[in-house]
Amino acid sequence: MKSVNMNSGSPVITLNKLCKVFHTEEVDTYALQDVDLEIKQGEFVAITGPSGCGKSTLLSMLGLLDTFNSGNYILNGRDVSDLRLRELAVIRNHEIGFIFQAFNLIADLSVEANVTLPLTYRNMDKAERRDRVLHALELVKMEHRLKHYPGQLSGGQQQRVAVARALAGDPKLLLADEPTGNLDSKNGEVVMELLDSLHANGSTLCMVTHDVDFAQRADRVIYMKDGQMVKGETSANATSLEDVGELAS
Amino acid sequence: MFFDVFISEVLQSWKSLLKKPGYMMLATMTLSMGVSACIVVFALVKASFLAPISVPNIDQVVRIGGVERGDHVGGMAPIQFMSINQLPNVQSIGIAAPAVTSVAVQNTDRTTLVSSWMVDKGFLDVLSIPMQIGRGFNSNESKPNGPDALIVSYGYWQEYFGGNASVLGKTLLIDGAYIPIVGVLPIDFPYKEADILMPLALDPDEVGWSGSFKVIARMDSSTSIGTVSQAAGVRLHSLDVEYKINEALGQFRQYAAQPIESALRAQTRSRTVMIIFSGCAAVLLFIVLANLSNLSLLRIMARSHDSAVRRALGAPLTRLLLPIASEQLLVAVLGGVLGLSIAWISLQLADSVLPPYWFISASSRPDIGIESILFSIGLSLFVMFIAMAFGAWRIRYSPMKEYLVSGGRTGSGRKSSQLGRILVVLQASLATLLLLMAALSARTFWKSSQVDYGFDGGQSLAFYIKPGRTTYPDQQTVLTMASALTERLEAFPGIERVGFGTNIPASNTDHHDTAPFLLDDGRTINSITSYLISPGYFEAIGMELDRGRTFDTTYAANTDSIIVSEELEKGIQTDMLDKRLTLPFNAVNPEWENLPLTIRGVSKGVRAHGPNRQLPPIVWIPFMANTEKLYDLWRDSDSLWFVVKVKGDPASFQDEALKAVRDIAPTLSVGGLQPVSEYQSSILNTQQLNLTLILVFAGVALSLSSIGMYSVMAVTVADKKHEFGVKSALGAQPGKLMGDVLKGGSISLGIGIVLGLLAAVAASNTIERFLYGADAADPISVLIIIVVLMISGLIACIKPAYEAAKTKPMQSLRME
Repeated sequence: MKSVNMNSGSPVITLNKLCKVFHTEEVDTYALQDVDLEIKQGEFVAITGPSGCGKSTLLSMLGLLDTFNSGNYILNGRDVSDLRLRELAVIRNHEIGFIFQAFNLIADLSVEANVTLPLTYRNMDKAERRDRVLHALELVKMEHRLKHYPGQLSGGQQQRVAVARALAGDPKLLLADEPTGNLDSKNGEVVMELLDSLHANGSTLCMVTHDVDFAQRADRVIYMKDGQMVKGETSANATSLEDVGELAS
Repeated sequence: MFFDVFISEVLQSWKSLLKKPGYMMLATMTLSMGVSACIVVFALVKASFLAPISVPNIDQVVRIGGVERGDHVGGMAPIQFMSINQLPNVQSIGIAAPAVTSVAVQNTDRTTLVSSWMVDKGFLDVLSIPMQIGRGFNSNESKPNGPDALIVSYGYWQEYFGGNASVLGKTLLIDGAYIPIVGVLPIDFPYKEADILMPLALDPDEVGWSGSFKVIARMDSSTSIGTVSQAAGVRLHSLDVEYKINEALGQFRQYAAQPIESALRAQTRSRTVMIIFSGCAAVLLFIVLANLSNLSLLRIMARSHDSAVRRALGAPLTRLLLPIASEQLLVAVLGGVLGLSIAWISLQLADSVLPPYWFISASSRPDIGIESILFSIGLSLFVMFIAMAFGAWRIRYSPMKEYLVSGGRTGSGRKSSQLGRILVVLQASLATLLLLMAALSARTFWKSSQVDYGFDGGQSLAFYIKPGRTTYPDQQTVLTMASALTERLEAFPGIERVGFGTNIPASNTDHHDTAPFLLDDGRTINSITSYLISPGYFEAIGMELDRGRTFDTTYAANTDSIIVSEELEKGIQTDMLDKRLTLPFNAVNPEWENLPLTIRGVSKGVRAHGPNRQLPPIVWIPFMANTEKLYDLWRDSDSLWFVVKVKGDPASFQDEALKAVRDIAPTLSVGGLQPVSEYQSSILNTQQLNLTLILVFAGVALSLSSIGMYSVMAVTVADKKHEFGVKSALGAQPGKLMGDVLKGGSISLGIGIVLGLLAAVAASNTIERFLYGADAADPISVLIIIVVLMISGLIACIKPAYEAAKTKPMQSLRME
């Protein structure tokens, strides 16, 4: 359990009354309802809750992968609520690193090409790109698999490559959506150790997880239910989701 | 963007495209079909209609003659030509014989019949086309009893003289006379039917009213066609009045000048088929575009996960579209090159198969020009544009989050599926239209092949000879020779009956043997197709009389007898048997004046011009003493045809026919020796060729629509794998899952067929112009195409349906 930088940095994320509604013919479903949240620089926040509670939707909003219906989102001091698609793409590329449950590596690209991909969107020169890619792969101990393709790697290795891809761009914010969800416990632990070390080195992390053990390793756990954030609290005493739920209530 | 990134992205796209070559192959083939079909049709249309005619200042050249049906200008008699020989504002004027005929060219070892045409010096002067080598006819050669001379065609020069310039001054032995070659026509000479041109020399003192000669004139550059038309009309009308032509025929004739260019372009005789092909190519192009759109859409949907990951990583739109553009570029290049290659091969094939009369001149052959290459590039770029537009649309509106959460297992989306189905419906409807055209063409061809020609030549052999005036100066000598030949032929075992005449029905040669006739009641019947025939002709060609009797075997007994076809009788709505017709040659040919002919028989209608043409009114006149002048008029443009009725296979009597001619007329050569049935079927050759080409279009359309159907159904099944898994888990039988897929395909196909048929109904007036014996709503044709389309569509659905049927519940449910 780490508690470094808690409440000490400037806010990276600030959400005010964020709402996401899915309209259907019969009923409007609130995936997110009046969500207020602040994540400070260097903070490691875990978002948890039952299936369908809106935690992945919230992470999509934070990652600018989806739009919201109302509210405000300040990312690194900039209101991103009304930005155009092109501007959102630039922010995703420069300021956010993604780690997905499904890895989302591109099957046709080698490990090196996958990790290089976001850097090619920055007009970065080749030498710098290569340095960064090698460094990122060294961090996740995958530098020896440079020329391999995703299909030739285990799930754990694929997720480590995905982490390297997220790190290569040196983002201010790392977003992880169930990063261990598709992994066995051993590989899950490896990935979590990676995230811990990134956090220890000052990265700001926001992770969605079902796993209470992993959630406990965050500075703060946010429990969500029915699209609402029930409570923000450290997770030092929580041992299960039910505990977190009780704690939250 | 850095160049290395760009190159790397492009190469990466191609690499991934080549890893799964199915899409690339389908898209490349589809594009190549569209490119090749359009280029081939364009090249044919260009060679048929658009190629320039090599006549300098062609807008100053007109054809002058009597106005015929359809407002086109026909021919005129030599006496009429003489009357307009010196028209004001006309630089030169020329005349040519009514038709191309054949002459026997004797070589050292054999005699060959060569197509020849008589033209005067003025005719070549009007055209003003430089000779390939040598010269045209001079003034002396165009005078009666002038020196002999001939000009050979470019093709004849190449074939018989190897294109050697030493041909000039050499001679050809024709009808016993050695005639020097003075020139070689250029390859693009617009009148390409004849291989030999001979000088036409008209004697001003002996010109008559018979014949339908071609007269052309070159006007001064400042003169209008109307001015020349009026001047010629006034003179020709005066001539009619002077010779009481109007009195005899009871009606005035109109004369006019018309631009020669339209007449030359009309003689290509491929306008109708080119309209059909252009329509087919346009429909095919739409199918190709729909199919490529469909394939592009499916490919883009297949790349959705890749695209979503790139978007999540912050790729700008240009970078998201770059892989799509790269893939499409490869498809465009391969498809374009393959299409051009197929087009080139097809055009080479077409060049050797298609008849010369399809094209403006021998030099205007169908070829791939720069415009075809530009079209290919344009079409390929357009396809790229469509793909990129779809790509941009998908990027803008597809939900990125779902693809990222599912790791690429999300379906293609409802709107994309709907668009895919709409494109399948569009393809099916267009394919229906093309298939209906093909089915109707096939039906027309079948109907044509079943038409009763009015005679039964199944057991008959035909051939022609060309008795020259030197050896056979008059009708009597010709008749003596022909009778002896008939007798010789009938002496062979197995030969039942022999007849001869100036032509045979369905010979596919032009019938210029027309004449006006006067009825007893004073009415005139114009332009009646007329044959001079021998007794035995009817029996030999298997023609039946409806009423009356045929000619006697003795010529003397036939002097006042003729037979008419029932079409002539229908035209004047009178029972013609025992009535009289009169050949009103009056003052022009005084010795024939009011030659009365009694109708002794009425024959069944005879399709002399082919199965799809109207039955012409025909008069059958026996060779007899008082038809000598008539034969003399026609013999230059006609051959003497023999019909031999045999027991057994007519083709097996060819040796007997050759032997008989060798025995009786050793100086004559035999042409067109083949069973009459071959003549009948050769008339259908062009129709068969058209049908073949339309069937090719229809086959391509069917294949493309099947590919489109397969693509959509395959993607639909892949999308619904989870749904099938759930259904399977709930107890659905494989047959039920398969049925669901087939049902979905059938619905799209059914809608497409209905729309296609509605389009056909809307275009039925146009379609029916090209049909014979069938209408656009022909139930058999419609039924056939529905069956063909349903079968091909269901075949396209079978594999996807089978994939659906073998869905394993757990495998697909785990995808959740």
